[in-house]
Amino acid sequence: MASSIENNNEKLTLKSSDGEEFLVEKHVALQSTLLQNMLDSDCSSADVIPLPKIDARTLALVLGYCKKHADASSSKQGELNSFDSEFLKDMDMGALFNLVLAANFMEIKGLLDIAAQKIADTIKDKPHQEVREIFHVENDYTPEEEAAVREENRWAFEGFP
Amino acid sequence: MAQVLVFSYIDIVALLVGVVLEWVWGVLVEALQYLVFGQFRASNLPVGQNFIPAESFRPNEDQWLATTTTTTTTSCCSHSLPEDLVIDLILSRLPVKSLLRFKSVCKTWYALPTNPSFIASHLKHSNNCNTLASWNANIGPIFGLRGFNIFTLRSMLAFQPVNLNFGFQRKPDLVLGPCDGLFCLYWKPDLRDYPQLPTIALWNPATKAFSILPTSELDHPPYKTVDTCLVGFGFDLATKSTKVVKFVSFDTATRYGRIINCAEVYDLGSGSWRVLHVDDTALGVFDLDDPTHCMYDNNDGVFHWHAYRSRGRRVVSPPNRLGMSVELLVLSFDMSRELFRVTLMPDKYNLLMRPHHVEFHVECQLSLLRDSLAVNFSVRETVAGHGTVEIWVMKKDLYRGVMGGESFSYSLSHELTVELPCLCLSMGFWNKNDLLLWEVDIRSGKPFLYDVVTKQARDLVKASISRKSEICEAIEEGDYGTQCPLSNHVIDELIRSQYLLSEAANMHSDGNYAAAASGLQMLELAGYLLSLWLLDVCSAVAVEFSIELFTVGVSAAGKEEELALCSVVLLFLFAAFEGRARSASERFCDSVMFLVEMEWTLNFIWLTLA
Repeated sequence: MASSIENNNEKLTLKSSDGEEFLVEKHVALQSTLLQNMLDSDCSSADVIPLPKIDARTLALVLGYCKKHADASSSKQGELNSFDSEFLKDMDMGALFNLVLAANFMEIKGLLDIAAQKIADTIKDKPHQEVREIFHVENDYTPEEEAAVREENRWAFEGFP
Repeated sequence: MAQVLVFSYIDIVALLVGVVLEWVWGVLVEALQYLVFGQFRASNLPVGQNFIPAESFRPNEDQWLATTTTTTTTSCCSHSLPEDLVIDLILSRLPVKSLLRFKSVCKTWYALPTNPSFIASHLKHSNNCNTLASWNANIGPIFGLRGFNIFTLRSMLAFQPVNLNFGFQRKPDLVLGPCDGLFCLYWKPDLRDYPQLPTIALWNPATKAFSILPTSELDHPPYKTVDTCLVGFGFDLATKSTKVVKFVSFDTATRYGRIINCAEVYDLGSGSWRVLHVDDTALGVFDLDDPTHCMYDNNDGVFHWHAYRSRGRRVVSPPNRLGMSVELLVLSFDMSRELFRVTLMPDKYNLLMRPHHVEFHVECQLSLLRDSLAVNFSVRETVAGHGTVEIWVMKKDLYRGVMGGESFSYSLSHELTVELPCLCLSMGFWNKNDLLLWEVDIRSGKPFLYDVVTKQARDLVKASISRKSEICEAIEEGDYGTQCPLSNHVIDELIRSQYLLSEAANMHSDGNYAAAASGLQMLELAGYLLSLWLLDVCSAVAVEFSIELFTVGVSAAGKEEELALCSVVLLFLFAAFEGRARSASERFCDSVMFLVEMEWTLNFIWLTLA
């Protein structure tokens, strides 16, 4: 514990899948459970930590989120909430998917929650055909089967074509 | 406030524009610098940014090219998520209605709503902890512990009053739950039924699935008469399975009038009943007429009933006042270990409830306080009417230590005593500090909340006005679909029914609406007017008129128009939540009482209160 306070100003270097390097303050990096575990298991901060699954653009967003949450005191929950909703506001589905993948890989629970919730909120009122395209799911029903499944839950389709 | 807003705005600009654009810009500038000066300099990002490209960063030309290429591709390539992430992270956050619709996506998604691990993960995400209350004309208010997606405030206008008859002659006599998204419904047997065991069914309001539990061995017992039958309903935290437990006291009808206790547990996973061993023949149970005589502790998966035991061997059905040899207790059933446990109540209440103590009237309710079982004794002086609620909390470590039934000791500890502000009954804790009290009044009793710390009484409906700003904001943003309780469907209805507004105006000017419309039409019109008024589409005159219509409409409408009536009541409720009109809140209380008085068959009016 004492060492983490001493090392508060230390920085570490993260490397995105496309080779971009980011110098991150340690307390910001600790928002990620993955990085926290790596630091705990005696991984020297001089090393460059490769994040082979995360491109630079996504990593920049992720670190923006971590910075905000690491710096804000717990009393500013309202401010953080409004930051969170603004942060995701105009993001397209592709960017959200990248964020979910990155947050899942780096184990940043808060970011994972808000990004997944944002996707859920976006798709919940969409027709199932569109949802199929969004997630690239192959339709394995015959037309007859699909009609039967729909009939089973007819009330859930109120207002849908 | 303004400062905070400005500050957060700057932050957002700095982060979104700063992070994305300046980084891209930085790459381009560096590229130019590289071309001009032949070497890289670390880009200077705004102060306060979370990342700083490393000083040692000296990529060669190939790396730079690679970076630019990737940047271009990330912004336009098609993305996808692995299936397990889609299911675990995203689908588990969807409302039930969307999930049922998305069963049509593919066969894997079809199976999700019945997959136990998916259900568990869905419940975890939908655990909003909204306190639920519902009115049921049979049994008064009933309270649930956990909300679901479909019952949150946001979708309040999408609430449908539910007909709980399910083909029976009457509504269930007891509704337990929700637990794990399910309700357990309990119909008492008709007197001519043999051997008088209740009909128990499980109901999932989200998927609309309903199933009556199969008969069991105890439906064909060797004893003639069922004295009482307790039912408990909960979730086995170990096997992740929903269970129903039945504790039956049979009267052997021998000379000694001996009672024999039997118990069975139903496991939703296996779909069948199993007989459990109960050895405590001195144990007696009360009829479950009062829903506050039982309580489920969701954290521990333990169901509790208010019960008693006799000090001797012989158990007699207790009259209202207990005999000398009877001790009050809490009977608990652990859903995982399938064990019954007994915890004795403090002895002074055994004395207080005995016949010679006529100067006190004592009632006992079970509720939850900070995730522990709380036993509330309402003690009222019979003459002076002065009342207190004495609250005892069951200590978990103690009752966990008590196995079987032999080594019980007092494991209830006195938590606090609340002086009651008026003549009222305690219904248990509504949330951390608020007791839900029911005013005792011959004419019209009503429920209210009483903060035991500040000693402030609050109206149950007005207590939720703190949610008002959230709803208003949503309406201002026009974000009806996600933020506001008005569903798209309702909005469409409203727009389609705009013409009714002009019709209403005509009727209002004539003053002759009673002749012009049937009761049902008047109710519908009242509903539309209220909705339009809530959306600021028409003036406040409309609300007065809708109240008139409502009053006339109710008397003309008769019992068949329950749905319309309920929807108008819900709109009044919504108006009360919104804090638009004081009269709306009063009107709502009146309406609910009206429904209760009329023994409305569609009596399940859901409220979500903060």
